[in-house]
Amino acid sequence: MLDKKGIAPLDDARQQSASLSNVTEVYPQIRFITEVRYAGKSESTSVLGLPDSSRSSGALTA
Amino acid sequence: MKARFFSSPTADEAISKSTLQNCSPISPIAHRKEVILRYAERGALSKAAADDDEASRCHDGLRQTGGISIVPREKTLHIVASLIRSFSRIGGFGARVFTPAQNAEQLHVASRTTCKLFSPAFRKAFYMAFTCAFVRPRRAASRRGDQATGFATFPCSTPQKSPLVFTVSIFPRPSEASPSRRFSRHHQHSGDASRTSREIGILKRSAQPTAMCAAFLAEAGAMGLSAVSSVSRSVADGSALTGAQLISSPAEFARRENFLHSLWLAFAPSPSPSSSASSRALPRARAARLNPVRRPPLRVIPANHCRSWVTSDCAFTSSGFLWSKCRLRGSGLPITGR
Repeated sequence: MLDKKGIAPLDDARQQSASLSNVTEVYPQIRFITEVRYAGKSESTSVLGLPDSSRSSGALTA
Repeated sequence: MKARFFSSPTADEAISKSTLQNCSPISPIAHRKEVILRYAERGALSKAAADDDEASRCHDGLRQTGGISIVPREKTLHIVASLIRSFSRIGGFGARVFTPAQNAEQLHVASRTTCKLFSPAFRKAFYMAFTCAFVRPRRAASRRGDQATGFATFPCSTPQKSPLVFTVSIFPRPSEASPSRRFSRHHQHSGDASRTSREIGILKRSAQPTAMCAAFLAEAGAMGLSAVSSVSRSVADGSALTGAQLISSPAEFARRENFLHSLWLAFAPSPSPSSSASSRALPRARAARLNPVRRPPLRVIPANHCRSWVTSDCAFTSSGFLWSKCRLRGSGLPITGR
């Protein structure tokens, strides 16, 4: 999957790592700053994409 | 309404922090059920715009996009739960709205960092890094069969139920991720590649990444996305730090003795006052007077509250992950790679 310069594009590396035997999960990090409207008010904050594994990883459990 | 996790990986749903809703910290349920995101969506250039861009052809024969278009969008997300605890333990980096990763990817959000993505390492991807979780890290018996991938690794603070499940961020090394080297070479050959056309909603590739960033901030401000513009400008000026910055420049932080502690610091952006005037390109001195630079306060998450880990040597190679040793933070339990 390496190109002429020996650099794999990020998506190829993502697929490559997902195919490794001891890898359990691979997901892109999507994080951006945007404007959020809530209850009639606007403010700036970060939005983060959560993988489905967060459901059971312990991150959200009490 | 009962709090729950997302119903599917593509659901238009959100989990928000209680500070966003300004509700009682003992209430896990949002009083309101919807939150609206206003963002700049990136898209492909029209054929006419692409054809007009002479910089779209690289001299090594590799055809690359000559830029992007951005369009203001709104997205309504239904709130399914709100958090009353810090989310920094899972790498939230101050985020207050969370949505399924697949849903977030499909939004095609343009940001200041999007301007960094015009490089070979990001030829197809429009994200800065990806996370990889794996079990039973091993020490490589021989590195002779491994090829350098051009990617760096960085430990994540994602807590896992099993102490033998580890997560790392994988991202192009800064030297490979920076488009300036490639573009400067291109600029040298083509001569006029650094020109930046001012067309509404069009960002054309520039010889200087900062020029594209400035163009994005100006376009976002002109489109009324003043919050996006002002906060991004704060990041660009160095008056605010974000997790993305931390991830993208680990070498800079690694030189600090307490670098691994800083991983779990919460970096809160310090948004400048939003106004139509400040969202436009102002001279730096005037912008500094209107929006005084204020370093964000750092909030330390006690290390013994983190079920996380650190590593001294973990590399992503063509044959897998190379591992030297790691230890759990908090418990002080050393684990040697095997």
